[in-house]
Order: sequence, then structure tokens, then C-alpha cells
Amino acid sequence: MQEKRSDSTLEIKNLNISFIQGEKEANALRGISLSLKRNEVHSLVGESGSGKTVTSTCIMGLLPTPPGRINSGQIILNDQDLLLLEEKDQRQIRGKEIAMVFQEPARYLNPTLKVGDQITEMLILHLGMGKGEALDRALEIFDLVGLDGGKRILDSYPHELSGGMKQRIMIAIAISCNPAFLIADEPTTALDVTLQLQILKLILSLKNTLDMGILFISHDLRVVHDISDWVSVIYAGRIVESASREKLFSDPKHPYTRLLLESIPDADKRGKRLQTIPGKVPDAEDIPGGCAFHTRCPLAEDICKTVQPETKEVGEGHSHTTACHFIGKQWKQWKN
Amino acid sequence: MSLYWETMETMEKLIELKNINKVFKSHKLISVKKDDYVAVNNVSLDIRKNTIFGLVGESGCGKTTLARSVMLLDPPSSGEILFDGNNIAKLTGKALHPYRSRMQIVFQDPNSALNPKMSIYNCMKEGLVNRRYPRDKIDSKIKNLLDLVGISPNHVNRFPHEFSGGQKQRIVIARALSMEPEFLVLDEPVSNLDVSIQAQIINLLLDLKDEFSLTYLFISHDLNLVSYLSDQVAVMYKGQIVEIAATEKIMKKPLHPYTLKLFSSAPGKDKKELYEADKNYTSGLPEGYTYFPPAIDSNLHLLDTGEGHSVACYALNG
Amino acid sequence: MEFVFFIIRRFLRLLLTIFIISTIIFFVIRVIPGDPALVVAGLDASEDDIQAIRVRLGTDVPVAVQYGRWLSDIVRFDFGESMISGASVNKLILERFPLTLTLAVLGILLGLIVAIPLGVLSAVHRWSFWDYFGMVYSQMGMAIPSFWLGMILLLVFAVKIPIFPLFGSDSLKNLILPAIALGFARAAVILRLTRAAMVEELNREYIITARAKGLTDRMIRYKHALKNAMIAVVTVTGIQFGYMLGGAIIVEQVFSLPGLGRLFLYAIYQRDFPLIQGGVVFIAVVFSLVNFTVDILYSVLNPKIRIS
Repeated sequence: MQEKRSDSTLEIKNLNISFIQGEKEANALRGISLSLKRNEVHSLVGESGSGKTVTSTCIMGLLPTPPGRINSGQIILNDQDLLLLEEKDQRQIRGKEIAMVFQEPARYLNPTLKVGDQITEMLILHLGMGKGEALDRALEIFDLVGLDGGKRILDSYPHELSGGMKQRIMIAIAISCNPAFLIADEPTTALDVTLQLQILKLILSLKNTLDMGILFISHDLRVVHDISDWVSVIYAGRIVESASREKLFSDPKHPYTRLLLESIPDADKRGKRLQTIPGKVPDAEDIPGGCAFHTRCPLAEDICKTVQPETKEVGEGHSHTTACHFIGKQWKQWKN
Repeated sequence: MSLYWETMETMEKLIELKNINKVFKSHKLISVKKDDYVAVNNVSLDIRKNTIFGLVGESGCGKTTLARSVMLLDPPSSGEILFDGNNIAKLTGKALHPYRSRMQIVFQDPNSALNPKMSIYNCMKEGLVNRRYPRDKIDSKIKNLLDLVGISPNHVNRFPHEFSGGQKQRIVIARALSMEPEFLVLDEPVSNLDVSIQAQIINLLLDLKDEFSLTYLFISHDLNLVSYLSDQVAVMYKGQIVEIAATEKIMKKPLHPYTLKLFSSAPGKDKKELYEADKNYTSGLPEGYTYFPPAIDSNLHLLDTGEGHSVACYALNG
Repeated sequence: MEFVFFIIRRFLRLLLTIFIISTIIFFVIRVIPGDPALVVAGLDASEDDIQAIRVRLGTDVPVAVQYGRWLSDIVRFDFGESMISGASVNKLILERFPLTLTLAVLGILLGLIVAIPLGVLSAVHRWSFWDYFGMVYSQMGMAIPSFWLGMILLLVFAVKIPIFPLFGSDSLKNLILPAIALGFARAAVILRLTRAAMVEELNREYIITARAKGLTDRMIRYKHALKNAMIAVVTVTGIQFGYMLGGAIIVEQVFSLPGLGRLFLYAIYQRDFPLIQGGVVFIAVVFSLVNFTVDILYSVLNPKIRIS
């Protein structure tokens, strides 16, 4: 399990996805590019409806088509475009090369199957193990994710375990075939803060021991701050800013990122009004032209209404990109 | 003695809880073991007029049950609730009526709080008619309230599904205000909302508090949020309050090991701290703290360490 | 251990149910205006005759005493003698019960064999041929009365193409046609439920997990979804089975089968009070037992139920 693989990457290139509902077409993703490296946590932050979950569903090859439609884009792993693979071959990737952890373990685990069955079925299917071998392996993995009481847990049903244990099991299942990449979709949102901390630490330690690349999907900038190496901010189906964690939190360039960071309440802001972003995230059916953020942006000028800003390099090398006409410009404080 | 506490101490109390207990009885006909569930265990606290009282704790710690008890939605099993000096814990029916409109509650999920088949106008009118608000003034009252919370009065005939989550929460707040309450219980009012919307609602709540001299009991699992807006914070653990203090005090020097653990687990710190965080809560204990109470113990009482900072801990009690 | 306590709790609940039902039956019969003895004896019976009947019925003593006797009868499972034949009610019921039980088991088996595969197929391939076929079937199943179906079956498979006997009840072959007539409508109900339950389960979140694991569609459907869908199906099947045991009066009539249904029907015609009372209690007990079994089965399928 500890052997390291070649320095592979998972590249999502210019992914464009819509959903067709009758006459209406909703533009869920409008040219998303992401790059995941082994042993790195790349976070995708955004509000609900921004396209985070569509991205992860599509990478896993689980996007229902119809109503979904992939207009363009590539998802490249080991020189293969996953979007071009047959369903049969995609199944070989799912769980084995790219695995996924979901938000609410209680709902994402089968309530009537024993935990043992839910973890071994994958080992048997993907790695061709026998039942006994798979059970032994499951116990090893339980150790790795910090689940005590191995055999007893194998024989339990999900509801017999606490929320934290269920999420550990979800993670155990996901890493059981030693995947190169792990997608964690809001894995701690349903958990209390003390548990959240434990799970975040677990994900980080697994990243190191298993040399995994992690796509961490979240709406919570504070959690993202704690766990990421790299952060991409998504708004209305486009990445508006992408940078290393240090750069993004110390020197955000896009007004959306800056406003989001300033709107987070904490003790230091006591007595001051919180910064707000007026309006709401646009629906995917009704995305404003030009820069999609212009309706809520304090910097917006005429050009923002008509011309979609290019994604530009703002750092040295490839360390920081953002899509804005007025990078870093200051705005006047205004009331909501 | 801090200036802050001096001013706090002189402020009038609006709500006083005295030894509130809430026990859920087991309904099993034939039961192997006795499984009555103590959700709230001997809680006492004071909420002063025109302040925000933050109640934090993890899921299942009893904070929502306590809120429902205070609102008399699920009256407490025992204990006193003093509202402006009057014990309302045992009141029912007509006797309770005058107090009902003086306290209102806003829940986490605005969807379940609004009847999907009623227009916003009718949703708001119901309460006003109920409290015999002059009929000819209802129209303008509703429009004023909606305007106040940032909903266009022109949308008064729309239905809940035509609004976004944040707007729905604004409408719920407007409806609560229509009863002209003095006391609002806010049970995770922004947890279901997007990050960019949360700040809007928080600002709104702060504005309304100043405008109408409201008193809030603000329940949340988000420590950063509570420490931003509360004047006082109580930490709840397994049905008990383990620590109460002015926010600045508890932020600067939490005394109870559980408070320490909770505060050090909150996200948004440096990564190094992340690894260290849960070591902190044992190593960072004040001298003499050795025991971390794992379960409810009714013998454990809050002990005042001065300036309204109380803590329930064996190390201090013993 | 948890499971043993669960079974004990359910069993005690079963006993309580039977006690309550028998009490209700006792008082309902006593509360109905008129003296049963008068009804039994007819208009021109003498006072002595009526008194004799009262003694036989046990209605000559105060209600409290009657109730005591009634309870002790039930505990001993003794419902006295039939007023018409003089045979013990117990014996009469137990003579007829095997036939009805066989018929019901056959009927429900036939129903399940048709309903579950078709229901699953309809859910998995929605809006396909099988789905439409299932819809048409369930409409027909609910619309066609079982006596009509029974007669058609007799006409076709016993008269025109005589592969099944027209009369008799001594071999399993005699029971095939009645079982079809009985199971046809049940299958329609179970089919609809299976489809609905399966569609619901396939939309649940754990199915997404199963897909993300790279499992085949087959494993997702039959290992993950089906077992969860069966939880709802078991309950309804149990209730359906209970009804069938209570006496498939009409089907037994059409096929001239001497089952429980017919026994009770005649008992009602002839105002055979002890037999009616015994029959109602018997059906109630059987129904409760079926429910008890369903509860146990349900908890085996659904591990969550055991602790709640």
C-alpha cells in the first residue's frame, strides 16, 4: 500500500456542461480547468449552485446524460480522456483510480448492508481478492483511518456507529483500493467542529501516507484555509481565481474572493459591520452576460457587463490566476 | 473588575432561567432498561435586556431543546422561567397569551417555517389578525415590515417558493417582528444560507436589535459567528452549561476543558495549529485541572470565578 | 441479545393484541340488541327451549361470569360446540384450515413470483415494454374481480382444455386455478409497490456511493437497492397474506372448496353463534401471528428497527 506511483496528474480542461430541461438550458459549468497533483490538496470553494458538485460528479463519470450534456472539455488521467471511455472502462477507474467521499455518511452508506460487505465488495471487484483476504485488508484500512474495534465494526450496520465513525468508514471505503485521487465533497459539513477537526487531520495524513491527490470541495473558506495546498474559487460555473493557499488568503485578487473573505464573521470584527455581497448567486439558467459577477461587484463598469474577462496570470510562474478586468483595484465601502 | 462587566451587571434582566430540566420519558410499554433521556440538565442563566446571548455546543447537546423550553413550545419538566420577573414556566392557555407575542423564535430552515401554499401577505397577516391588530392598518404594517428586512413590498402577493433562501429567512424575521416581540430566539438562523448571504442576515439582525431594542438568544455551532456578535456566551455540553462568561473573557481565557477543546477545534487557523489544536486542550489547562467530566453529573454546579465568568468543573468544584 | 428482547417485546404485544381483540368481540356480540337465544330458537319456540339454548350458549349467567368464561375458553383455545352440527368448533376450524392455508400460501407465492421480478424490471427499465406491461397488468389485476377470473379459468382450463380438474379438493392440482384467481389481484398490488419502492431506493444517496465505487449495474440493483426495497414489500405482502388466510370466501365458493371461508359463510347463514365467535377469534389470532412474523422478518431485513 505504501509504494509510490509515478508522478501522475488529473487534469480537467475547459469543462463545459449544461442541463437541458425542456426548452431551458442551464449552463452549469462554463469552462472549468483544474489540475490535481499527487500529494496535494486542491480545494474548490464556492456557494451552492456554483457548479462544485457538477464538477465532481462529472469527474467520477456519474453525470446523468440527459438531462446533463457535456458540451466540451477533457478529463485527463494517465494520458487518457476519461470522457471518451466506455461505461465499462469508466467503472475500472471509479473507486480504483479516483474515489469519492460524500457529505452525509449516514445517507451515503447502505443502511441494510454490514459495513464489512460495503468495504470488501470493492476489494473483491477491483483487486480480485478473495473474501478472507479482503476482510483482512479491510482491517488494515480501518487501522489506517483510526477506527478501533476492527472485527466488531465489520459486523456492524451503519446506524450502529456514530457520525464520526461513519465518515471514517466512508473514507476507509474510498481509499481501500489505494486510489491516486480522492474527491471529498463537503466531507465535514455535516459534522460538529471537534469531529470536523479529526476528519480534516485524517484526510491530511492519508494524503501523505498514500500519496493521494485530493480535490476538496467546500463552501467553508475557513476549512479550506486549514486543509488546502491550492485553492480555486468557483462562481456561476467559472473559476474566478486560483492560487496557492498562502497567496489566496493573503493577497486575493478577484473582488468575489476578497468580499467572501471579508464577510466571514469572527471575534476580530466585533463591533464592526460585516462586509456583505449584495444580491444572490445567479441561477444557472440565468447567468448575467460579461463577467457573471458584475451584478454584485463594487468595481463593475460597463466593460464588465459585456466582455467576459480572460483568466490572467497575476503571480510569478503559474502561481496565481484570476479572471477580472480590474485586478486588485480598491473599492469604496458601501452599505448593503 | 472590567468596565464591561460593570455595565453588564447593572443592566436589567429580561430572561432568567432557574434550574431548567427537560426529561423525555421513555414510551416503551415493556422495556429492558430505564431509558428516560435528560436533554437539559439543571440550566440556569440570565439574559440581560438589549444584549445578545450566544449559546454554543455540538449537535445533541440540548441547545435546541433548551430554546424550545424557554419558548414554552415544549415546557420544561421543572425549573423557572422568569420573563421580566414573572415566572411563566407553568402558565398555559389564556394566562400565557400575553407572553407569546413578546417572545418569538426563528429557526434554521425558513422553508419549514413558511406555509408553501400561502402568499407572503397571508403568512404575515395571520399573526397580526390573531393579536387583533387594527384591520385597516394591517396592509401598511406588512409593507413596512417587509421594507425593513429588505424585501420589496411589491412582492407581497408572491409565494415562498418564488424567493431565495436568504429572502425567505428575511420574511421569517419580518413575521417574527410583526408580533412586536422584546425577545427573539434565533436557532442557527444562518446555517442553511450561503456564505455571501449569511453576512447580509447577520447585519440585518444587528440593525433590528438596535432599532427595536431587542434581546437575542442566539444559538449556533459556529464559534466564530457567536464570538463576533454575542455579548455573553454559554457553552453547553450533554445537557449542561459548562461555562458562561462575557464573550471577550471566554475568548481570551476559556476555563473549562470542553470549551478549550471546542474553541481550538474551530476551523480557520494556521495549519500548524491544526495539528496541535487538540493537544492544546489538555496541555493548555489552567493549573489544577485534571478531570474532564465525560458524562452528565447533576452534582456539578456552575461556580462563579468572578465578573460573571462561571464554570462547571470538578477541578474547581472540588 | 438486543434481538431476543425485541422478539419478546413483540410477542408480548401480540398477546396483548389478542386479548384486546377477544374482549372487543365478546362485548360487540353482547351489545348487539336482542337475545341470541331468541334468534337461534326462532319465533315459535317455547320458553323452555329458549332457556335450554341460553344454557348451551352460556348466556344464562351474568355478563361478568360470561366474560370470565370467555377468557378462560380463549386461553384453552376452546370455543364450545357448533349449534348446528354439535361438533367442537375447534375441530371444525382445524379441519378446514389446512386447505385455506395451502390455498393462501400458493396464492401469495404465485403473486410474488409474478410481482417481484416484474416490479423490479419495471423500476430498472422505466418506460420500457416491461414497465408498460406491468402497468397494464396491475390495472387489470385491480379491476378484474376474482370470482369472474375464477370462472373464466375454470371455463378455459377445466372445461375447454381440461388440464385441471373441475371439482374436488384433495390434490394440489385442484388448488392451482383457485390460487391463480386469488393471487392475481394480490400480485397487482405487490407489483406496484415493488416498482415504487425500487424506484425510490435507486434514487437514494447510497446508490451514488455504490456507483462511485465502480460497481456494475447488476450489483447496484440487486445487492444494494433490492434488499432495501423489499422492506416495504414484506409488510404489504404480510397484510395481503393475512387477508387471504381470513378466508377467501368468494374463490372458495366459485371452486367449491371446503375451506374456512365457506365454513364461516354457512355459520353466518345458520346463526351458529359459537362457530362465528370462534371463527372471528381464530382469524384475529392468525392475523396477529402473520403480523408478528412480518415484524420479525422486517427487522431481519431492516437492522434499524431492532433498536427503536
